[in-house]
Amino acid sequence: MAIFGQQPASRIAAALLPWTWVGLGLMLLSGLPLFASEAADLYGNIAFRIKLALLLLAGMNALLFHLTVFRGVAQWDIGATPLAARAFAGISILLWTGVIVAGRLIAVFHSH
Amino acid sequence: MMFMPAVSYLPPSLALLSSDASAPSSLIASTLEWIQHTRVGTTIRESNWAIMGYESVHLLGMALLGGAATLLAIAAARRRGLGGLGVSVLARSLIPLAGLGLLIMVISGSLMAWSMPYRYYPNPAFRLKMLLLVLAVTVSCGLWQAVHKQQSDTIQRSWALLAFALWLGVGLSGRWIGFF
Repeated sequence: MAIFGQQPASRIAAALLPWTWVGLGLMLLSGLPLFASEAADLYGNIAFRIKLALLLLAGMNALLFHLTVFRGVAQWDIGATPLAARAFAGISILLWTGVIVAGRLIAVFHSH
Repeated sequence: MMFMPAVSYLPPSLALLSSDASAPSSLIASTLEWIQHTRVGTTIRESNWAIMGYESVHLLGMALLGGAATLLAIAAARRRGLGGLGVSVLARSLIPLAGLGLLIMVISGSLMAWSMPYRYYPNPAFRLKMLLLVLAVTVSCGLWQAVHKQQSDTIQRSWALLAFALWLGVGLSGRWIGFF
């Protein structure tokens, strides 16, 4: 796939992954105080629970990817991306999309 | 997300009262009235789920646009770029992605605004957002031009940083709409 001028997958990963951690850190830092301010209400909120479950699944998906397909990245760094890696990517997009939608739904189930 | 106040679904008569002191001219007023009563506007406004659905789609578009703009800004702000990848390399892949995000946001955003014209038209945060949006799109086109004409690295980085600042302004003023 021609992205970033045909850079090897490992190079793109090395460039981008540290910043995904920064993003996750910022969201946790801002999300935790928001949660703390109404923890009791949120605990029972079905959308909030689904969001946390999806976050967990997204984390597990990333962990599995790094423990399996990405271990052998040297073999597919430049050539065609293997189906397994594409599957991990597709699942990742779906899960993070779910996190966003579930996050928006929290307000719908919010009792005030 | 959790603090997002519920969007106020005022009936049209009350919504009119909540607009600011500058009463819209009769042409604008009749246009707003027409928009409000179009079938699309009415359907979205009266649905329990439409606004929430469009807001979710709006957020997904934001992930694409905001993510691309942020990565370009990080690459522009650092001497080594993003892990050795500079603005010119990243922009060729990221700007089309940002464009897709913008398209998604413009469609979902237009539908939401169309359903409640009295809520959006007089809202100062909405007006500021639209102004910043025009500037952000213009500057982003400037970045696209600079990349394709292979202008100097400094010029490309400046465009990328200015674009990021403007997109940030669009996002913040958009968040602010709900407080009016």
